Amino acid sequence: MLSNSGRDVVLQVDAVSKSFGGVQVVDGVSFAASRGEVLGLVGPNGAGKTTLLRMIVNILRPNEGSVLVFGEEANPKTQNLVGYLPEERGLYQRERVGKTLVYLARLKGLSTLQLKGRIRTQLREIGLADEWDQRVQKLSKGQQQKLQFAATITTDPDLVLLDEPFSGLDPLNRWMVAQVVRDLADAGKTVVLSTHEMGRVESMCDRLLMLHHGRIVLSGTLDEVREACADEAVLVETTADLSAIPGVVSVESKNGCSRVILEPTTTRKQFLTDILATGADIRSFEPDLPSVEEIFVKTVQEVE
Amino acid sequence: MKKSLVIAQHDFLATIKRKGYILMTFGMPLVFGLIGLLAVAPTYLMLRANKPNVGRVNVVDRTDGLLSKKVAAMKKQINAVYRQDGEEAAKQAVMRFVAYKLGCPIKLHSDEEAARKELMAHNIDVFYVLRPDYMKTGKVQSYTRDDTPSWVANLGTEPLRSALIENMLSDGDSEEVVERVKQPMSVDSLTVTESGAVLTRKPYASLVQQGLPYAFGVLLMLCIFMTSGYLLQSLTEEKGSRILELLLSTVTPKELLIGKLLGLGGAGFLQFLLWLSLGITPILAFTSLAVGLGTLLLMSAYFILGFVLFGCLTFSVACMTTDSKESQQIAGAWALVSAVPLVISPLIVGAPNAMLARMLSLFPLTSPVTMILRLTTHETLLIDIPASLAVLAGSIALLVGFASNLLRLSMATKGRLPGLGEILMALRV
Repeated sequence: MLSNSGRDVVLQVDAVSKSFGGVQVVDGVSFAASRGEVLGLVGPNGAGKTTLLRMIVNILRPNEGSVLVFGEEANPKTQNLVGYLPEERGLYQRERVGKTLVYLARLKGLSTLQLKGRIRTQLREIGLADEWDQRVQKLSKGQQQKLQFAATITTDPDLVLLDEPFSGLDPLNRWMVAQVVRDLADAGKTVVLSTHEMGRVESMCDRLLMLHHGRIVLSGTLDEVREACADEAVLVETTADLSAIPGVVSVESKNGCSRVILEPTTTRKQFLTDILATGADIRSFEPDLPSVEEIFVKTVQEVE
Repeated sequence: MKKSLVIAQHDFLATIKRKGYILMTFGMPLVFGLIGLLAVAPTYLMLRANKPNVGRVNVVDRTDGLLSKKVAAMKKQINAVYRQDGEEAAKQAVMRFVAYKLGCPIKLHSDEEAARKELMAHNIDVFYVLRPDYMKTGKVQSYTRDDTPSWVANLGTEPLRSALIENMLSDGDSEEVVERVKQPMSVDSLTVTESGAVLTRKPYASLVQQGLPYAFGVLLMLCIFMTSGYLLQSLTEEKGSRILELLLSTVTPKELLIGKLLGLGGAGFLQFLLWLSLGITPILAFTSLAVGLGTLLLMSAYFILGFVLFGCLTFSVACMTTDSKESQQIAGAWALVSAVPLVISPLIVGAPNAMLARMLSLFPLTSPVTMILRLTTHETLLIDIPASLAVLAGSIALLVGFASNLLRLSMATKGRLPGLGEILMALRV
């Protein structure tokens, strides 16, 4: 199956709903994720993100709709193809690092022989190469977080679900995890990234899916979403007297530029033509698109 | 199943390496041994201090009159004294003879048949037979009824030993006599049944006969509680350390449940086998109790089914509750129910096919212990065996599905106790 982008569809969620004790947690959600794509899943607390991820990984079953993973309804077999880093995570504290990773990977159907070399390489990549025989409880919180991240990708899954992967990590480790996620996508893996860190979404994700009260309230590529959410504002560096140009509501200064709010009936193209017509110099002209964080806040407020 | 085996291996190894497990496995037999010793020691000491008055020892002497030699010697001595020392000295010898006869603890019976009649008429409780080759072998046979405790067979051995030595020495001190006096007797214990059959008695058989069903039941209960404890601990720890969600992203709740039952059950079973080998097996080896292979296999089947049933129940409770204390409180409730057959074990063993025993056999919580108790009586109605096995297997099949659904539910309820409606939904396996 191919997505709109022409790439293989790895994950297809179709009209999925889930309720607990009369509370609708996920309500008719549909989306798809393709090979090599990083899909950002955002939304306020209680929006249904974790429930959605749990249905993809077959921990929960939808009340309605279907979740197709590699074309198959989510089932015990598809679990082996998915790497999942839950938001609420933990490890066997008394066990040793190496054994923990081997055990978790064996549960995915890999043999111990296949694993040891791969795990050692992975531990080296995340800076835990010397901790193979160390007990988990002796590791720092950050090291344990990295270990859990390693456990998620040890088996080289084609679909990786990460629920708040950056929480509890210092900036350096956040950067490292972000780098690994990008590497995974470059290697053709599909990553669904649920996070409250909008900056990360902006820098890492190809597409964005925003949930609120269990429903999708925004979706698309980052540019599509930002464009859709942009008001009629433009950032201009020019010698022209902007307030004299027709269709301008207000002009304010922003980072050495002028931020111009246009009337709804005035297009950016028309405005640019009008500036050029004055014969003034234009050093820069760009639409003032909102950040993902601004979009998030605005959307939630609108829905509320 | 492969994933269940990986979980089983992991949980088994993790459990048997725990200090608590090692301590319990080897500490429990020590504690029980100590308790047993404390229970037996006062009785033993009391018996040693105050030897019971056993009356006269009934003996059938099939030698050439060994136990009459002292009397014969004394008679001879009276004649000799009369001839040598006169009437007065002879009177003294007669007095000694009479005193000996009066104080003699031995009562000789003319033959074995006569003694056996006395035994079966309950006039005596034990009699001894000196075999014709006694002087060569030292063999003495003790006969008791098969309904008397084994210690009765030893009641007269001490006086008999003294009498044998006394009589042997009264006949000179040949090499044969000296050898026999060094080791005067070796007793073979025999029992006589109502029908007249003579059987070899092994020590403590009757004690074991009465105690074995109870011991099996207690052992089953102990193992169920211990293993349920491991299950509770394991699942509560996994919930507490929040690794459960990671596990469930890889295995189904059913695979997890089966893996845990196999792994932790294996650890419990290992403990059971160790205790069995340290406790019941030696008793079985030295007693005449006949537990056939079929009965043992059936007992094992009830043991395993009982264990799995309680394991599923424990798993369900651990799914629903938020901490181990709460789980233990709920698990304790049915533990009490399952212990009912033990409490009323005399009723079950006394009437193994009565309505009460049969009903308890068909109720899943009480079935394993009740059936183990009934099986030891060798009188269980055959139909009750497949019926109770079917009840247990059916209950387990339902519970596995129920427990798996509850685990999924617990993932959704995020630590809060699920409502009744939600639990009922989970029951729709």
